[in-house]
Amino acid sequence: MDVKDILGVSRSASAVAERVEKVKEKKLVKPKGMSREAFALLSASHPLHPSHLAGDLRKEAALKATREKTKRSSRGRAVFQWRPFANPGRADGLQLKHWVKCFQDAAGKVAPADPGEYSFAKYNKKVVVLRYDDEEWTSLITKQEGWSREETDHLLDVVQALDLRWLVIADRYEFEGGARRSMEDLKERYYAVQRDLLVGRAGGPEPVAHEPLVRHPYNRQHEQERKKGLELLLDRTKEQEEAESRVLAEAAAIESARKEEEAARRASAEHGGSPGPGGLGVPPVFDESGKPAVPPKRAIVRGAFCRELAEGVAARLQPAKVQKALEGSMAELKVTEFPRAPTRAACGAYISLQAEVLALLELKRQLATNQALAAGNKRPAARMEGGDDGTPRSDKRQRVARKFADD
Amino acid sequence: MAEGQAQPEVFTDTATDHASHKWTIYLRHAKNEDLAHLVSKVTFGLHSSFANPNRDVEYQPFELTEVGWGEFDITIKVHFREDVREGPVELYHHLTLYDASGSNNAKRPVVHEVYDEIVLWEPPEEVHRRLAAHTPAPAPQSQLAQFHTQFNPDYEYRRLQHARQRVAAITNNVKVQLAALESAA
Repeated sequence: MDVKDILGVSRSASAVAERVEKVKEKKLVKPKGMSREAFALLSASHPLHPSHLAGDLRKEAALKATREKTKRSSRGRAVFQWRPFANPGRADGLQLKHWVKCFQDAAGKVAPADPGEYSFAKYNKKVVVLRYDDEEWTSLITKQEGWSREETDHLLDVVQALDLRWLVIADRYEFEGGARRSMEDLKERYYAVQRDLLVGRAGGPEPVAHEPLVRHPYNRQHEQERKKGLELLLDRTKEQEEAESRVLAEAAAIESARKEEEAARRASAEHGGSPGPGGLGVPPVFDESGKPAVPPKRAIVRGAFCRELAEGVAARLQPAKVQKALEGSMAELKVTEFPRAPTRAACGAYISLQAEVLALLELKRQLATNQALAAGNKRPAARMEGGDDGTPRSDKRQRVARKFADD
Repeated sequence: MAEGQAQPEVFTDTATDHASHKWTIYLRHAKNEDLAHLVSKVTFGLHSSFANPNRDVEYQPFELTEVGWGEFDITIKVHFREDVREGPVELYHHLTLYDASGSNNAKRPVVHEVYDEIVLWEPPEEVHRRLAAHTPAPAPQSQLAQFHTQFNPDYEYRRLQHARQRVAAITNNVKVQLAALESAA
């Protein structure tokens, strides 16, 4: 409660008013090109507003500079000329013309900017088709039924002429007296011949193992199946597609419902509710106090899980003195390590033992404080002399420890 | 099954290390029973300096012999049979090449076996039925059977229970002292 409350002024109203004031107070923006010192002269209360002339001036200057720069290029003035060019991709020597960027120097001479070869010549790639001679035909090439030497020759010619464009090759392919060939037939024969030549010339498959022709041999059956599958997929009618997606959606719904059911079942089991199927209900692991608990996963490594639990409890003890005390007490009980054969009983016993020792340490601490308090109440003056009941404190602690050992 | 709960199965993952630094890591049943009705394969994850550090062993005995010079942690991934519908479980084993005593006897291998239990909590019903009807069969004979350790879980349990009794007695004593102190105050 403060003055505002007493006066009946609402807090929120004033807050809103403050915010409105803040919005009104607009900051003056420094225009580009104005020096910081000059801008500082224009205080917010000053009625003067900066003009934007400075920025415009600068833009003009920049434009002028670029214009002069292009004029003063070392190679002269840029002009375009209609010039003939040679295309190395053509064998017929056809002469065509196109516009080329040129520079005109001070003497008025015009030279093309790029005097090299036709700039698109680098895209002119030729397919390398390996050809065989008579000897190679007899020694290297695997003979295939239905493929004569003449027809194989013809196939290589066509492939070379049509640049491996298989759709066109399959369309145009025709051999007198030969059978009808599908694209798979042609591809299979061609790639087999190429691979034979490659491997045969290298003397074995190892030196050319990295070649795609050797690494991925043509698989006719796989190709046919792939195309059939694609055709089936593309030939579906709209109704079929809808029906399919409906079925898939239903399957997803069933799957999610099943998952939910499973989650609910596990949640109820965690709350100590209904036991699992067949009335198996004793949880296999433990919580920190040594009580049976449901494991976080359905398949669990019990020894590792319980060891981690026990070590975690010990490691979290604060301050470090308590940790030391726990270690000492466990050593006194001759329990220095987690059971080597961590059965359910052994794990439970170890975790419970650790919890019990911790409880005992806490009790002892309480006893020691109470004793000290009681002694202090009886003889408050004794403390001044350095002891509560005549014995130094360290002796007393030793006595407690000895009692622990005797018991 | 001894505890009458969700079909706990007792496995042991173990390692025998030869002093010549030819070592074998293996996973076996604590009582050398057949594991084929639950485990489909075991993947041993070795140190990354080994060629193909993840080695699958699909048949019993689940053993892997290697040659090396250093000690490191091996991960042991236990894959269950498909009907268990549970992902693999991972165990860790520290490869031990040297005896604690430091002796280097080439005739007697350094054996470092670790006992642990894998528990399947609430397995699918058909698996539960199958396990209930399962009669344990002996595992395929291993060359290393002569070195297997006998574990004594009962002895450890009794020792722990004895320690707990001692702690309970002392706790009682301290409680009595506390009560006496309070009544005196």
